Amino acid sequence: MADRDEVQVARWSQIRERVGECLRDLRLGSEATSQARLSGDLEDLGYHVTQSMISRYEQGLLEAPLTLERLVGWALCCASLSAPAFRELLELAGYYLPWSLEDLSRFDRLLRHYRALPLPDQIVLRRSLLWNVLGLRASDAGREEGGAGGAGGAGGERDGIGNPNRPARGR
Amino acid sequence: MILEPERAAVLLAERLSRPPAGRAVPPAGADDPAPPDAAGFPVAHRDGSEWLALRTLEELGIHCEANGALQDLKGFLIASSRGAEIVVSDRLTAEERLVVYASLLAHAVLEEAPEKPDGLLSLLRLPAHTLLDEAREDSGAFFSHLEYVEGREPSLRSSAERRAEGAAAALAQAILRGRLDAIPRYAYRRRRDRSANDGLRPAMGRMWLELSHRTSLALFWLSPGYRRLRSRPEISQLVRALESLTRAAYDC
Repeated sequence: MADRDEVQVARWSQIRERVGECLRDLRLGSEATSQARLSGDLEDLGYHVTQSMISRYEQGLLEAPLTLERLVGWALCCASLSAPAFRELLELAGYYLPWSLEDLSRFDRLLRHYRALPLPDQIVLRRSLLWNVLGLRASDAGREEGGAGGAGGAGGERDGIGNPNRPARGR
Repeated sequence: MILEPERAAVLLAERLSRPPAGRAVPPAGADDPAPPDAAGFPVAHRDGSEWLALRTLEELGIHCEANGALQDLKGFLIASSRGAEIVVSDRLTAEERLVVYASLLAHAVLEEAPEKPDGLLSLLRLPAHTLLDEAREDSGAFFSHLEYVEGREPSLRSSAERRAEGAAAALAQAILRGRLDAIPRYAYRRRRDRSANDGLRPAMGRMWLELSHRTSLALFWLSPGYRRLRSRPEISQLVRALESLTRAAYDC
């Protein structure tokens, strides 16, 4: 947190409880997901988020905001991309996704549709969808790893995120 | 949507219609035990047609990838304004992958409703439009389709889904055979023909052709029997002849 200034810290203190509430709303949205399942789903997607971290996120106990990638991953695993709580989250965090509500509803419909598939199929499909939502591709990952930030990765919590663009994608 | 399914379908059908001798497949290295290529495709199982399809899709900006993890899915297509991607199971043979590409493309083509007619026909609520889900008309931002392994499909499918599946299967076959003339025009071409000829006679001719094509599309959508009939070469020739005759008679 050394590179975060006073204003950033103050703002985060103001919004983190609300961010936590929104994250919980996403998880308990249309199809409630347990923290354990969400943790596993995020892990499959390429993020390292333990169950206790999820609990701390939801309580607003973290010291830094979540990245766009992690927020999208969270909403995607909860099939809540079109939820009002997700829009509020993006607004609070100052992120922007170039998708209309109709697009996001379509993503959610697909996410719910594939719940019946075996887990390996779900993982491949979910990763493809995550990449599509974030506007990334496998070929982009190699370039991004070289140093430049990923799409929209404006959050301060870059380390320990678990790069969702890992090259093992689907292979 | 970046994906241009109509263009892809027409181009792929055109290329697949060429004799196989014209298709060059890059050979795998002699001392190489045929590892998968960069996108994960097993080189050893390459076939000229599959390779040609893969290259055509890549050329049109559709990213293709093979994946070993898929179980119930043969493959899927995700397309949006951010790009289009096809993922297929690497357990499929080259021939099976080719069928999956064609089927995914066919579903993408049929996702969009044909352009509405103008003139007198615009006053009618034509069956071809009512058969397609109206909500799809604003599509363009996001499209996805999952291609299941036989027997693993969801058990509950609406009649509209079954109809779409039948129409897509026929379109996919037409692409694979390189014979798009074996299906109604509006099944793969969603834009109407424009004509420079003004006047009542050409307008009447255009209206008649429009009505015929759209009726044909409606039957194609509804009836497996009509799809079989329409796919016969002699019927394609007859349709072509009738259209030429109409165009000549009405100067349209």
